[in-house]
Amino acid sequence: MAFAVEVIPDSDSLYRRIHRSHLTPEGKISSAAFKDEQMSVNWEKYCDAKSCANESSVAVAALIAAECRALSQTVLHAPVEPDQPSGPNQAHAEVRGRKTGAISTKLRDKANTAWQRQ
Amino acid sequence: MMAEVSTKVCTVDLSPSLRQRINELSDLKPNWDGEKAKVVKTHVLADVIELLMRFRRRTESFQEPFLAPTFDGFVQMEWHNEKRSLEIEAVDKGWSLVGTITDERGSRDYFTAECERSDFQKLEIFYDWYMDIERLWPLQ
Repeated sequence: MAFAVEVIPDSDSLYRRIHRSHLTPEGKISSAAFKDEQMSVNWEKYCDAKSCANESSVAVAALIAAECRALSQTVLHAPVEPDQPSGPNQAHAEVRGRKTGAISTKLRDKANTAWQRQ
Repeated sequence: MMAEVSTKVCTVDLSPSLRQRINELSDLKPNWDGEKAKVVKTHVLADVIELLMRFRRRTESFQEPFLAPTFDGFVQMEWHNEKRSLEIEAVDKGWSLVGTITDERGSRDYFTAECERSDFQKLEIFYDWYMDIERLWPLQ
């Protein structure tokens, strides 16, 4: 049975894994981590921050859905089914939209570090 | 192979840490982020090196940036200090720039601009803005 696609409330957190190449030596996350037009995130309803990390992640950043929407982004629940690549992942969601100009910088500035590799 | 050699030879005036970073970016494999990211384009990396070499030749106090790969095979240069930040991203048609100023209360203003790939003079003015030599964000 397929996962139900739900509406993500404005107040919910979305976890974005941060690749090691996007963390400065001073520990600041680069806005380059937030440029993908179909940016994959995981919805807090079905996961915690630490579980979103993979072997190349150095951190997981949390974004609030409403703050993404305020930057002209669309936040959509996009669960990955068991028979799809990287599936199953009921938490998967996407922050969709062009991230030109200052959008990715503002997303970076809105993000909080929810988990960091020790 | 020839393009790879040319980028490595051209970096001799840059610091060992920046040269290492450039090599790390050029060594990224397809899908380096696990989400279908592309490898860094060699010609983009060469343009970044050319720009940094110009900046370095221009001033003794040149600050080397953090270099970040983007998912579509381009590179972003970043400078950050307590008050200002400057991001210069290589894009298809040239460079896309974002600057920020943070005031004493933590409020942040954002500025944007675009430059053609070979417009080094304009890019130098934006770098001067980051260094607080230019007080106002340069108008297009």
